[in-house]
Amino acid sequence: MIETRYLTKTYGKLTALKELNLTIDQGDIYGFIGPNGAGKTTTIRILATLLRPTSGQAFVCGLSVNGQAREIRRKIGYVPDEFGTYEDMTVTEYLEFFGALYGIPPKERKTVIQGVLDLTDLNFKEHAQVDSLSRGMRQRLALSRVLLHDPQVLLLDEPASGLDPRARIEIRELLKELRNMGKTILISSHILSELRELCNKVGIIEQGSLLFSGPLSEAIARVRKGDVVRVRLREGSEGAAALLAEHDFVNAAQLDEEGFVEVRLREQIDDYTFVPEFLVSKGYKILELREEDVDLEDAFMKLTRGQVS
Amino acid sequence: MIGAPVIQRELLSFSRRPRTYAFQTLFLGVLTVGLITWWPPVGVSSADVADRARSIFEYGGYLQLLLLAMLAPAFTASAITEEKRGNTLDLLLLTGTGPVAIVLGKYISRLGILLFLLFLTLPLNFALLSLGGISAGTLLKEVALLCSLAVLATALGVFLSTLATRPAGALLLCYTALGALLAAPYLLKSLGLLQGAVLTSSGVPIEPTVSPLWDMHYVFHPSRHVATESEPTYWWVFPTVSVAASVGLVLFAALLLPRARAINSRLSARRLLEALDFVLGYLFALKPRYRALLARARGQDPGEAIAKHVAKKEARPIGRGNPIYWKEVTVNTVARMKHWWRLNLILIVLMFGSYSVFRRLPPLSPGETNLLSDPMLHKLLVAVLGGLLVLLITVMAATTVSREREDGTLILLATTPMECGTYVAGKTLGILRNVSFLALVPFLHVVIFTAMGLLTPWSLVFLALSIPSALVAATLQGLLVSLMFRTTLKAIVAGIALIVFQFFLPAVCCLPQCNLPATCYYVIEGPGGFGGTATAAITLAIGFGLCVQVVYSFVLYSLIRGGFDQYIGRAG
Repeated sequence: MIETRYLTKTYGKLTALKELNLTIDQGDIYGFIGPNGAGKTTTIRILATLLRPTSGQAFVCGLSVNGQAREIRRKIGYVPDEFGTYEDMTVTEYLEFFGALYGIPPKERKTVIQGVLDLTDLNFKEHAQVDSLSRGMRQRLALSRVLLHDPQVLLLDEPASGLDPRARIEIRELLKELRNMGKTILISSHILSELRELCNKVGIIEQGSLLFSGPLSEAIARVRKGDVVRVRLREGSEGAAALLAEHDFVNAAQLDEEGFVEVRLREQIDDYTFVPEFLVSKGYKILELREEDVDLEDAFMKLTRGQVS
Repeated sequence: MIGAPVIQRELLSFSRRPRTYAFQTLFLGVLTVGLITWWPPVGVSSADVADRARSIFEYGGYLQLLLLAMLAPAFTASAITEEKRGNTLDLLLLTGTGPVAIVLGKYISRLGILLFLLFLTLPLNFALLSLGGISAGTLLKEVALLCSLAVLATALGVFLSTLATRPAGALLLCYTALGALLAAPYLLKSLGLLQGAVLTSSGVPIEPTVSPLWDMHYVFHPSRHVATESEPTYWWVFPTVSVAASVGLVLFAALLLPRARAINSRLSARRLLEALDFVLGYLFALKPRYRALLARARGQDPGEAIAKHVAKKEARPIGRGNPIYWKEVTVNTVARMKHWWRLNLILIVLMFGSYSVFRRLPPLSPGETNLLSDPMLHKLLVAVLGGLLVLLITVMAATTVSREREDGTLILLATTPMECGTYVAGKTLGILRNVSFLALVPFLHVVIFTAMGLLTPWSLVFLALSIPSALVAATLQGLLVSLMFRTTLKAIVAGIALIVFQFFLPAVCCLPQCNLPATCYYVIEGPGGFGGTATAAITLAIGFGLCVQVVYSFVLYSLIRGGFDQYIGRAG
């Protein structure tokens, strides 16, 4: 559905994107993650036909951004990170205006607008002035706007940025609904916990280069190597730590502040079941065993170096 | 030094902007090209060389004055507004830097840039001195006048920047004020309200004391202002008043600075328009009780009739029409004013009402006819009205796209499958509709005075051939400028520069077809008609309206179409 091949964008001497290769299939919810200035917005704007790539190619629904921009615009819905609103326009007028720009016939417009207002729960604001809406409401209105022409692809640049917790949860629920409708969504965000709930694939970008692109589970598995396992014993924790430290599969073992034995496994060891087996064989009684959780934030922190282009 | 950190930051910022150097190059380039073009050829007598030097010096002075009046607002309109828009004004005030230091810092740095520009022209002036015909005293007076205009224009720009919310607002106000300052004595004089040698009780001629343009004229031609004097004795009045006024404006701006946001919210154009709209609505709208009476007379239910009327007024359906046109005529700042047409009507009635007052005024001297009977006045008036229309439409069009870009709404349009033709047609027709009533003014003027037997009916025909296409071209050139420039400030400056260039074109290439004011001037004639020049007038009107402007509009549209995606793509 979305594909980029060696996509490069430079601004003078600054390279914002370096030969980016990205593939997003139909129905994917793709989380685009990266530090500020990594090239996320540039990529999304190229896909939204707002920027021309310096070199390389980008395709949306099989159409090239170089030369088929107008056709692409009929198939995408783009919500920028920052956008303005028209003064003295009601919510319905705003949607009618964009409906007309997307070429929706006047007879169908009312039904379509009612439909998207229902979906985004904005019916009660249909006569409100757009510039009087809160930020959360505006973001919902922006989603209503991009759904007017029933696009196959949604490009969402930081849709939850600057929203209060309630508005963020509401947007997340709305995006889940869109996911269930089978839309292909490319979403960039800094709120990684929310992306984990929404996305089936992620891409991690830094300094214009894609460091990782693939299923979320694979991203987590990639940083899971060298896990930490924490064990609480009934007694003899210090002796157990010393014994474990000498084990072939263990990199280090020590007591932590809470009295747990913290066992750091060697990088190539994925399976930690040998730890309880070894301890039981040595006569220790295990009260609790915890695997240190690895999430998207860990993956992000381990894969990126905190540099911007 | 007071305001030193602000001055340092401003100068650093100016030195990093390419446009600073572009302005300097433009300023010096125009003057140098003028100097080279007019430089006396070899073999001319020394008296002729001196004459030529004096002419170059004089017209060079006027040119510098005009360029300064154009550049000073462009340099100063963003002085405080950019701090307000970037939310950095509060930070500056919180640092303990007082408002006087901030305003002075902004003022001195910008004034420094303009004075540096004038300083760069000194070698050109000294080159002229070597030709003779000009005294060092005249040179010093001219420099003093130009400096005083820079001092005043910068202060005015900084002051208006404190009052305005957007740089474009400050810029337009500043241009209006400077335009009035430069042109007021001339306009008053052409209407006969200010005579050539009116003196105050102390013997100072009036015009040079209120306008730098006339002060410069006074310096070069003192005998045209004060018959008994051979030297321009009172040339220093305007510079002195300018410096005093500048100090006052800067201090007043400093006084207002801490309250700038509160002033902005009270003085916003939107609020003013709404207030005016309310007054007009109150004065003109048919009161509900009369509407009810009317409904009863028609045998309708009054409540239902009023509700239907309100619903009809509030409904703004797009239907099958062009959505961009709908937006221009519905939510545009001007269009939002429900009583815009009534305001136009009032202005037109006031304008024509003033004619009847002028008509009753006694002649200025015995034997002279009333001014309104003179076709020359009508030629001038229609030319000025035509020029103002072109200026107004170009500036309106120049703000339309760049403002959407600044407001962050263009990016939303840019990702719709909107065609270039839809966008341009919507914008052009919308702008023309909003000014259509004002565009009728030159026609109405000619209609009235033709009916009174003071102008020939052919003038109306020629005007109808000339004006519509010129207005379409003005809209398209404004749109192109607006698409090309990132900020409204730059778009307005570029639009006005383009208009000034066009207004000078007939003088440069000796073709009156080059702009609307010149064409208007030539196609207006008295009751005697055009006589032997009728064919020339027809050719001029058709040549201007149907050839030059149509071709120009086509070229402009092609340029817009060619770069549309690129220009719109800059939305973000």
